[in-house]
Amino acid sequence: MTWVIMLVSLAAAALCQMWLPAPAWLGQAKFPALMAVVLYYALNHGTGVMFGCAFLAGMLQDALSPIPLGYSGICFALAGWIASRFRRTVLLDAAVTPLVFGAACGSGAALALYVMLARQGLVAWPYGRLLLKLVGTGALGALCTLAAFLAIGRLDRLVGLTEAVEEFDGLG
Amino acid sequence: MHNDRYLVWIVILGTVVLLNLPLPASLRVKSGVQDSAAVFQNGMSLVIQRLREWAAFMGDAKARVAERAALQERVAMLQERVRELERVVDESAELRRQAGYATSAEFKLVPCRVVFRGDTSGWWQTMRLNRGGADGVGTNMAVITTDGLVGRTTTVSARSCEVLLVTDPNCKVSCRIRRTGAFGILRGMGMSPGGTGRAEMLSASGAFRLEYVPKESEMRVGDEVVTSGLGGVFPEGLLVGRVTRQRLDVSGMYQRADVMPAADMASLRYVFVVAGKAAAKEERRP
Repeated sequence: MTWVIMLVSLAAAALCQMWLPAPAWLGQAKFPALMAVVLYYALNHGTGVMFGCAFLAGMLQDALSPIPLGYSGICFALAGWIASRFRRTVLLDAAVTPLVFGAACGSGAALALYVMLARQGLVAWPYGRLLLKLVGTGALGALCTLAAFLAIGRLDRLVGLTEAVEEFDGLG
Repeated sequence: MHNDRYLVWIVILGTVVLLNLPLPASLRVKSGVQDSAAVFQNGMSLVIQRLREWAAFMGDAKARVAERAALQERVAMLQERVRELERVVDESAELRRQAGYATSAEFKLVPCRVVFRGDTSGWWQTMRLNRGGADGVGTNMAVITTDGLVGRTTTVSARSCEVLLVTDPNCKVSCRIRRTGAFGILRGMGMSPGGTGRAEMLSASGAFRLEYVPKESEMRVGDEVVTSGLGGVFPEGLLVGRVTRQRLDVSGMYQRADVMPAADMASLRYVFVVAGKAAAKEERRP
């Protein structure tokens, strides 16, 4: 059931990411909805599930944009792995957790992706606009990670997955 | 725990495979995902369009009734005009036949609806159209509106295609000034398809920049910039925009100009893909 919820969440996130506007005053930053789903699984589920989610999210983002396949997956997996290191040291129920992780990982993943694309000569942004986009992605990342935590958390609770994870964590 | 470890290795393996996929295979994977997504995108696009139309109608029902009556009157007038033009076209074709000319060149246009604008990453200025390879759309085809050039197709799947807008810095077009014939290279300056140009204030003053125009050639504000036809992607003579400012570049050897797009990039709903020429170019038969 975890994977079904994840696939539904990823599909919804991909549609949101495509449809939500990229404001010019935030450097045309997109809402990093796929990143938000990866962060949810990084902080609420096991490492394997998180990596699977990062792979699928990356593949979706790359397939629906001119990014070469695999690039976003690496960035998402890296961000998810770093977030999962803090899993036992943060308050998962506090709203500030998704806000902070969403902002940091949103900007971090966008920067990592930019570096990879720029090395291939696929993008070349002036530093001012790049900075604006990174700040914008951080701000939008904070918002949509909070929304993703609320929405997927509700879904997980609805199908009884949250309790199962907590029991597993207690044994682990 | 063991399952987790297997999953991690599967993901690492999958990522390595994806990174090393040959280009044709990579494009096939992308096309598959894009075609699957196109169904949802089209559906959502239509629903949103209908909702927008319904909201606009409900917002001002009385004006819409009057508008409908005016439109009916206009349709009747246009029908009469079409009949008149059909007669002129027939007459013209007959005269051309008698004078020994081939039929005039026309572009074969594929009408498309803009499904959404921007890619999922936001690094490029793109939009997705609801027509693809099955409708005759191919890669590197020019995309236009009735006002001017919009961009070129990049990746094409069976049921949709992606368009790189001319405002993207990666899109370079060989152009000429219509009045003087001077050539130059037009480059996008990253203007948002949203169209207000606010973000560009950090880096650019116009949506396009025309570069490498010989400094001897005269250039005026308001000059029309059209495609030159060189380069093989964009047909000759498509209106791109108008010069808003001109000056010498840093080397002092060439002129450069800021150009505003002729097409309204902020409200692109329907566009045409130029899928080649419909007929031979006009020339006198030997």
